[in-house]
Amino acid sequence: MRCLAVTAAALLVASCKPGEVLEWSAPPASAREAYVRALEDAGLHGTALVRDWVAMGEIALGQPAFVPAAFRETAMVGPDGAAHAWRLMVRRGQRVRVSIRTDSITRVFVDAFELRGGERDPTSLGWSQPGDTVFDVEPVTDGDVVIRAQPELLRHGHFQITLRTEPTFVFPVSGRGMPDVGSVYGDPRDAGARRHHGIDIFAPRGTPVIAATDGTVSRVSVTAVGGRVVWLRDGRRSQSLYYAHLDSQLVSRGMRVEIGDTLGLVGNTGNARTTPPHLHFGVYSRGPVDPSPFVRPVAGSPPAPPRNAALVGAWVRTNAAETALLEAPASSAGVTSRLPRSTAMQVLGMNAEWARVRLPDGASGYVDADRVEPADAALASSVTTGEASLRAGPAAASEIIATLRAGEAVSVQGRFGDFLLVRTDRGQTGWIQD
Amino acid sequence: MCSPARLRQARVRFALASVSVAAFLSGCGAVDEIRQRIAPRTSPHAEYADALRAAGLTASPLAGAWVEAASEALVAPRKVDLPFHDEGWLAPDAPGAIGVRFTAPRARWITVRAHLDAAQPALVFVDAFRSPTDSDARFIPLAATDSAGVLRFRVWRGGAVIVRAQPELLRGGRYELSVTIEDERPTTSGVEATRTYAGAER
Repeated sequence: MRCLAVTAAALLVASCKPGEVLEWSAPPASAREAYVRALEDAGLHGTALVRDWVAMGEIALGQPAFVPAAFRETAMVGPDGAAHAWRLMVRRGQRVRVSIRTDSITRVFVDAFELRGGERDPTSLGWSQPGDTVFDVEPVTDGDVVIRAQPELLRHGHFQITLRTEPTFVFPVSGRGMPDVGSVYGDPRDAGARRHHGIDIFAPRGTPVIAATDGTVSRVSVTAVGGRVVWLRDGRRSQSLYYAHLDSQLVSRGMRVEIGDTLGLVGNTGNARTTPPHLHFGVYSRGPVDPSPFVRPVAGSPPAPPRNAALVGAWVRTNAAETALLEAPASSAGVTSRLPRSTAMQVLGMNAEWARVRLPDGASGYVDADRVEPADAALASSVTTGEASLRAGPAAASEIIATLRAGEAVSVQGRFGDFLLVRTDRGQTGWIQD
Repeated sequence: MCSPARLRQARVRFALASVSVAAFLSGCGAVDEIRQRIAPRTSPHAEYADALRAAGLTASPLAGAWVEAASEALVAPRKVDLPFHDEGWLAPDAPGAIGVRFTAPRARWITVRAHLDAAQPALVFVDAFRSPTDSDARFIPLAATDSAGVLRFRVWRGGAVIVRAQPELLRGGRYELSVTIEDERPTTSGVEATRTYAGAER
């Protein structure tokens, strides 16, 4: 995008006569960038508000949580603009439909990235506009996509995000589906001399063949190999769809069609004369592309909303002898660490089965939602045996909030390493060494 | 040396700042009654509050609590004797401010030292006001800064002074605040008030 803008600017300069005023418009900023700019323009440049918000977005982008193709989570809205990011594998031809549900006042900025150039160099795939509740992300190559969502500053609560990986096309033969595909992309042809550059979808002669996406009919012709063929130009994605072996063509060149419009009827013309009627369906974009991801439904449905959304943003503790901290919300996911009973942590997000948590040392991951309980109920009451430092974190180097006198009563809410998370009778919460 | 044109510009800026502060204050209830009594001179603290309003953040509970804490520190400061030293904790996620009221001796330099042991860089607004009196209900700004350090000012006629220290939003930590009287104008190096006011007592 930036290259295009620079090129456009260069062309503009080249076309200007000496003395002419050059009008230059900067590339469009994302809604997120516009928000930061508005904060800075208001006079908050260099403040903790802006610095933290921007930094949190960058940190989240560098540490996305691995999630499946269909995923739903209720995520925390924190006053410092806590950012969240999820990473999922998407194939070319698929899109991720991102749906956001929030209260009416909190804006959530969603942007998407493709990890095409490597993990450290995410490439922007676009961003949601203010007020958008649904946002589609379509990568241009196979790979991992990161969706980042960051609520605006100084809000509390939570929002719900749903990620659904879907095919970008509808199935090109009416009433048929993937079980009717008899030959897939890459199958050998002519005794291995060439590869099959499409998929064959078998259906009774005369079954309607439909526009798999909106587009323009770019060619209607008869060829020796394809028989009666229709080419549909998908201009938005710079690719063409190829429909071959049709019994009849029902469109003409230049016609604008919408998803579901009938283009022709299934047949076995061209080099398919000796086979049962079928549609040869291909996708071309500077060469053939596997059409399967464009039309194959993605298995699975997003999990139900969490049973206890109230825990989102709250401190909790583990309630089992040992709880696995996982890299992804799945039992089969890699184990980052094993947490002993009563380990304290903050819930960043939650779905029906899994809680996404951040430990006091900054590590994050997923734990079984049934293995955590609210930390606000006292685990035990204790009395300090000597003078004790109440610290902001579970580390000896952490700032001292207050000094507790010997014999002062505290309620223990959880633990982390050698430290106890306690609340004092004075209402202060912090960590003391066990 | 200021030219007349510069002075006029400064007055216009002053008036604009006053209007924006007044606009920001309107609609905040009893807190504003106090804030409106602050003489219309801008400070880093007032500019920050103004920026929050301009960014549309003042409707949030946290920014509201920050404004509330700032006003509370002025309206109900802790009465202290000089020299004064205090240490404590300001939670980053619960806005707070420290306000102390003391009697400044006539024509003596007052030194305020504020230090915040924050985990990350933080703006710390330190403001000194002449306390309202029976004959003048305004909080007259004497000096202000937005960086934890040393603030020096003197009050020619002497009298009650309020010093307020408050970190920016989302910042907190262990703080130290001290107020001392200097015998003479201090010769030690240090950050002086980033802003003292035309007409402020010298």
